[in-house]
Amino acid sequence: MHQLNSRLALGGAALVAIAQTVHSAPQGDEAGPAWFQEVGVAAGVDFVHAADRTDAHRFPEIMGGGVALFDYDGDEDLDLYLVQGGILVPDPEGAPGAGNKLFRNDSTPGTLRFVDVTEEAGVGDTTYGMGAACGDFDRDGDVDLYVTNVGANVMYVNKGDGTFTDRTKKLKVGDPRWATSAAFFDANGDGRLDLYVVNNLGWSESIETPCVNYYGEPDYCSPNNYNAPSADVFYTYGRLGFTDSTLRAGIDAAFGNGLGLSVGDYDSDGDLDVYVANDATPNLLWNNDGKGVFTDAGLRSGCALNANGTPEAGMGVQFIDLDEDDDLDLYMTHLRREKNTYYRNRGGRFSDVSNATGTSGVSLKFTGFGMGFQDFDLDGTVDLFVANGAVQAWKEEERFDPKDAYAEPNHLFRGVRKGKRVKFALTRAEGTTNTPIYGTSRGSAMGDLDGDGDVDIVVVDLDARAKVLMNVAPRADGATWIGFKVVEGSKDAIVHGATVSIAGAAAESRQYRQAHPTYSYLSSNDPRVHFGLGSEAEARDVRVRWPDGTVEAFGSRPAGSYHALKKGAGEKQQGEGETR
Amino acid sequence: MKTPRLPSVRRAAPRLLSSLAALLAPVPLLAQDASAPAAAPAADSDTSADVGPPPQIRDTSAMDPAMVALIAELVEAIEADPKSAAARAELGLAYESNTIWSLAETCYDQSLLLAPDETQWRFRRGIVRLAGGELDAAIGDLRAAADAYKNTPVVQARLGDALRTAGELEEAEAAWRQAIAAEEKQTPVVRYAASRVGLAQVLLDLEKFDEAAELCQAALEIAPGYRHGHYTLGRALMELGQVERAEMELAAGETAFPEFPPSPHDQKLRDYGRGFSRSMMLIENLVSTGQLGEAQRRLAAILESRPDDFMVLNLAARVALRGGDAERARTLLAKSLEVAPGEPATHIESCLMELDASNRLGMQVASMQQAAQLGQQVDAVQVGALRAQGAEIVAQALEHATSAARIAPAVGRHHYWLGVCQQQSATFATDQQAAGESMQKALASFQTALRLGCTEPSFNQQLASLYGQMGRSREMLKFAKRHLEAYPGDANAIWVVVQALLANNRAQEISPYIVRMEEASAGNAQMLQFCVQGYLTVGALDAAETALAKFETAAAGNPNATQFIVAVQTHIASERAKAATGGGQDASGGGR
Repeated sequence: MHQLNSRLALGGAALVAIAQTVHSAPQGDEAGPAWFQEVGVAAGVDFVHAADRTDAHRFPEIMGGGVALFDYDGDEDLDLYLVQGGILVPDPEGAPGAGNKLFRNDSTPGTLRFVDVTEEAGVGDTTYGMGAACGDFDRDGDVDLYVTNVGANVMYVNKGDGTFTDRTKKLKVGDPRWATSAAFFDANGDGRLDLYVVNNLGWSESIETPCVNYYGEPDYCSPNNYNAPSADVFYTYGRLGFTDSTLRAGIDAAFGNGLGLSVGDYDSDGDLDVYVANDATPNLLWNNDGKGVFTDAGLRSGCALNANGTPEAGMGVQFIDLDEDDDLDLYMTHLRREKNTYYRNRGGRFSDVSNATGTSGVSLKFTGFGMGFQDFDLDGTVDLFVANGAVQAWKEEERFDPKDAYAEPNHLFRGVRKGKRVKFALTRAEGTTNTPIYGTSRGSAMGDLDGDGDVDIVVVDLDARAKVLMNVAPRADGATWIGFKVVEGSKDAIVHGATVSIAGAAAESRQYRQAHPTYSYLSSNDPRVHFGLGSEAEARDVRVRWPDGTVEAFGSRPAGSYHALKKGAGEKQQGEGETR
Repeated sequence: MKTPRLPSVRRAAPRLLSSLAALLAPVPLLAQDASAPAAAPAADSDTSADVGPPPQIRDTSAMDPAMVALIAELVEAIEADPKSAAARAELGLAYESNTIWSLAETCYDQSLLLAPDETQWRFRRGIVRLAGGELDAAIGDLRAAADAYKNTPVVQARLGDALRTAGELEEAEAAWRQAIAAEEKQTPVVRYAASRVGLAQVLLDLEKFDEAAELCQAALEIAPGYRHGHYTLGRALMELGQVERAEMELAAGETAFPEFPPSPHDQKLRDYGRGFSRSMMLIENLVSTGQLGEAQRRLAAILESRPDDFMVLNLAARVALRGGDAERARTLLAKSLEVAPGEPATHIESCLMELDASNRLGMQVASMQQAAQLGQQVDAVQVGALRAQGAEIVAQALEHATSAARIAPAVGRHHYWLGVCQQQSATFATDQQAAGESMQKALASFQTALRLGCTEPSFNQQLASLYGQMGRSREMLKFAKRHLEAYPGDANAIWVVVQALLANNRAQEISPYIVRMEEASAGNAQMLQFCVQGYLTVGALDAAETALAKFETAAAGNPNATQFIVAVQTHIASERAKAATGGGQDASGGGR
């Protein structure tokens, strides 16, 4: 935790008191206890998103609101970066819109506190923002920040002293198209992080077209109304900086109205692949040949379209091993009237088995954006958070919030494991907090903000204050946890795309977590992996499969803290994991 | 955005009431089983008092006037007869048709309060509850309906669908099997592709892949173009390890949408689908299925109320052009540009219209050039005039494409059409240098489109063709293969790959493609002709002969075909003779 700010301890102490009360005696009502408590204002997060919505219903207005959790100052806690909308079509002569904000985590034990350090850090881009990606691309031991925009994207290079330099022009990574999600990962095994940027559509005000909603009222269009999906951009990082490798890498061969992004080795062949959730166009599964050349395997692998062969409105997405069979499945959120989809991976081929998750029925009514699986209640089984918010107005009679036609409740599904399968049950229909919070939610990022060993969430709602949701999930007495940070090199740079596994409670079972910050929607999450351990005092047989396919064993680690797992420090497992 | 002005609902409603009597005739009941409970008479007035007013949307100020008028009409009918369960259900159908699920559900609730045994409204309520995400409640309704209507395929199918959504796979399987069994009990017996594919999907979830594949194949025999059937078959074949065939089926089923057996309410739901977007979508569907007359009729009606809407004008122009009325298309597009001058979509439509005209001239020029090459007499002046005329038309197309690309430069397809115009300019160029310059410009535009992403289905093929024209055979092959990946069952796409392989001096690789092309040709004479040529190229004489026989059947009646057939037969005979004397290829032709 940051040493400063002890003067703020009083407010924080009050917060902790609330949190402890809720943890030990969850309020029971018909709806079930809340799993989160919103503490944004008390914690000093005064960010209000501004979408610049107008009667013209310009498409990007309804899509933005990313968030990043990363440790920019190297003090081992998660700082918070919130991406602002601002002015969608700025007047060249006019004043700039509101900019993005960086909040330093100045919490002390028992006190959650954030301080706005945007100006001193130099990261307040005022271009109409979408999302953010974090990664130490130059492997100098501090985390850099890439911001996606409707307009030129921005690369902030971390100087290691609490400030950043805008190196966009020098690094030539300021693609001017409408970008959404982005991710850093090593595509070609050279030890450097490359950069994948998802583009949505070739938007400009001139392609706006009038559309109507279910009621025949003017509203936001479907992206397909514009017929202008955009190809993504892929930059490789080498000795000479970033190179636009889109064509060489084959990324121009397929495209769509891109929104969500997740990176992982889905076919366990020792390289990182890329999954892009497209909005109303087939999703892309970029299969890496190990040298950073990609082929779209989405259709033949069964995860481009749902089980019906229908392209869905892909928003948030996560590679996650839900069935604990040591390969990465996919889960993604969708539009109202589409279910959220779970693609189970079986040997590199996916099947849409959404109906087995228990989330299909609920998700049909809502439009999901941000999402993530974490073990919020530390019972050894992952749970699911989904941030919802409509893209077409609810009619007055149907609204959740009379003042906001697009607002919807967010949802927390509790995971219940039966053997290798996990099924999810909605905890509260009206939201995740005791006092319902309805918003037009978009990005959400997950991480342990207060260092207490459970996973918290930050959610961005359009035209509303950002929500900091502290974990107060009901849990068994003595429930334990463990976290891991996977690093490499002399500077302990964070590795993107490793898989950490631990022995499970049941015999011969294991739990797997993918260590990559890019999942959810427009967001960058805590790069550490987190496991709930139930009542276990330690995590047994900790193993890491590194992005190159090699596996190292790290033995057992005691519960209740975060541990660094450094490449090369474990015991290499012969013949296991390597490009299977 | 301009808010549409509404007609006075009060004034409009009486005018519409005359048609309402017909609409409110009892909705055809689902095929009632003998065992099903008989519909109870409508409840008495005391019950109706509890039902409450019909649900209405409070603020209709921005809604589509057609939808507002329809709702007002149906509400007035309820007010005239508040005890009528049918009238309330009718409003429910109108809401359901326009996907206003929650109000539809309330209407069906009211109908069921008035007529509790009218199970058809439970059926409909189950459907709207499922659409609204109320899965458990939906299943309750659909189970009740399925109990009452055991022999009605759509009811069983809808229950199967809901149960599958809930993960109740065994029960879902039983419901879908019952849907198929019920088809046998209809008079006359019916067979729906949708039922078979629905069951196949459940079987896939249950990992019964063989039967799933068989059901899909049966479905595709019933409805060969059923995309959902193709996609589901692709999934099953993939599981069965038949990867190549699976990929073709998956591609054939891309962008599929599931269907259900027909329901007696379908017609009403279609009739009640009001609103501008819905109407335009229906017309688009009519155009894509070639029903131009009906499309034109509906467009004329919309144009009456929206004479200055560029979207309507553009669609009307497309329909006119498809119907061969280029003049009307031109007039409509001119008006569209007048009312919305900065609309890139109109420039693209205009560009397409001009390209269509120039294509026809281009074909004439090409055929005259071909004739000249064969030594036939060709009027050079006429060729020159055609070239000039074509160049003029292409210039207009180019102007429109340039405008679109200028107005919205980040849209890949605008650059694609710009490239097509530039490529087309080469066709009418008067000298090689001008043609080369046009092709270079086309390439630059296509590369921009490639970087941005371009939705046009022929993009990769067009790019392959341009690279071919420019003699860049490696790139030609790359994009020909990309096109084939997207359209693996398209004979023409295969042929382009074959041409690209030949251009790369890789004739030894074409055999499997020719076999594929023959399979995909579906009796198309031109494709079969290409197959014959392909087989001859690799010396597969037997295969060439077989394909030639197919060609002969396909091209029966075409006088030009005879010349080709004779030439091929002569060639084959000569090759065989050479082989017999040891001077040629294997007389068996190498087979396939």
